Amino acid sequence: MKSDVNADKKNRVYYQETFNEVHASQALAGKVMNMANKKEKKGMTTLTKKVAVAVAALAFLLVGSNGVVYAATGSTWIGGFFRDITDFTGAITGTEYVQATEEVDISVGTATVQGVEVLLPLELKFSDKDKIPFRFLEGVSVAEVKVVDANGADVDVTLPAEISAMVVDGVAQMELQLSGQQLTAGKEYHLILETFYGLSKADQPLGVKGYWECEFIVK
Amino acid sequence: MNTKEYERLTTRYLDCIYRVALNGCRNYADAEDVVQNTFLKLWQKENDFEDDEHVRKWLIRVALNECNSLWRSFWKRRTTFLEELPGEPIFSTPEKSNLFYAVRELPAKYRQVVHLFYFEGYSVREIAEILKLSETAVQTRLLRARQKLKEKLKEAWE
Repeated sequence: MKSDVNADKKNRVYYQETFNEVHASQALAGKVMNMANKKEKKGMTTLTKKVAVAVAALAFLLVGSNGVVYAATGSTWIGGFFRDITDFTGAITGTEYVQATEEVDISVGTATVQGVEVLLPLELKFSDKDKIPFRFLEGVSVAEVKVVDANGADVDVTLPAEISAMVVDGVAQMELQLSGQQLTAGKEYHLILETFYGLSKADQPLGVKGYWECEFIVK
Repeated sequence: MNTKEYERLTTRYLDCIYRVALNGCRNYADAEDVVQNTFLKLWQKENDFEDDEHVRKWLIRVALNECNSLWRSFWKRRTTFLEELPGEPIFSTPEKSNLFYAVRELPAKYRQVVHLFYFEGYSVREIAEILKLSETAVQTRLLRARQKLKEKLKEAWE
C-alpha cells in the first residue's frame, strides 16, 4: 500500500512537470481576453437595467469631471488589447497586441560610439509580468526605431539588424546598434519605438505596439 | 462579471482549462473551441462564486461538458483520429513527450480522470462530483488508466 502511495507521488510529479509545459497559445489567449470586449452579455432583467442606467449616469458624471484633469496628463485611457491582423480579403492572418504604452516601461542608457555605429543600451520592463500576453514572452526583439533631435527633426538612423534579448523576470536588456553617422557626440536625441516583437517557443512573433520615447546623449 | 475580474480569472485559469480541454478533445482546434466556449460562459455568468477554487471547479466542469458535447455531435462521431496539427507542445525531455502522447492515446474517459487526479490534485470523491460518477467508477477508470500507462511507459510510470 505504502509503495502505491509513493508511486502515485512520483507519477504525479512526472505528470505535473509534463503538463506544466503545455500552454495555451498567444492567439488563443488573445481571443479569450477579447471576448469581454466583443461579446454581449445575456439579456438583463428590468431591475438590473434600471440599476445599470443609474450606475452608467453616475459613472458618466464622475468620468466626465475627472476626464479633463486626466487628459491634461497626456496618459492613455485604457490598457492594451489584442487585435486581429487581416489581409485584403478580410481573412485573419494573425494577432497583435496594441496600445501597450502604459504596460511596458522602456528606458535607455548613454549611447557610445563604436566605429561607424552607435551602441545604445535599452531596457524593456513589463509593468505586470504575469499579465497576458507578457507572461508568455520568453524574448523580445526590436527591428525598427526612429531617432529625432532635440528640435524634433528626424535623424537618418537605421537599425542594421533586428536585435533580440531574453526576458528574465519581466525585464529584457539589449544593446541597439544604430548606424549613426548622423549622430553627433554630446548632443541630445530622442529614440522613438512604436513596435517590438514578443517571442515565445512554438508561437509566431507577437507584434506589441505602443509609443515610447526616450531621451539619450551620445558620449 | 466585470472586465477586470474576467481578465484576472482568465489569466489565472487559461492554461488550466486548455489542458483539461486538450485531455477531453483529440485535437488542438477542438480544444481551442472548448476553451473559448468555456470562457464565454464565464463572461456571461453572474459572479456568484464563493472563491477562486469554486471558479476553477466550475470552469473544469463546463470545459468537460463542452468536450462531451463535441463528441456527441454527428460529425465528430464519424471523424477518425485527426492528424497532428500546428500547436503541438514542445517538451524539454523525451520522457515528458512520451508521457504526453501516452496520455493522449488513452480513451477520453480515462484521460479526464487521470488529468484531474494527477494534475489538478483532486481526490477520487471530488472527481466523482465533477464528472457526476460514482466513486467506484472513478477508481476503476483510474486503475485501468494506470495499467495502460504502465504498459506504454514501462519503468517510467510506476
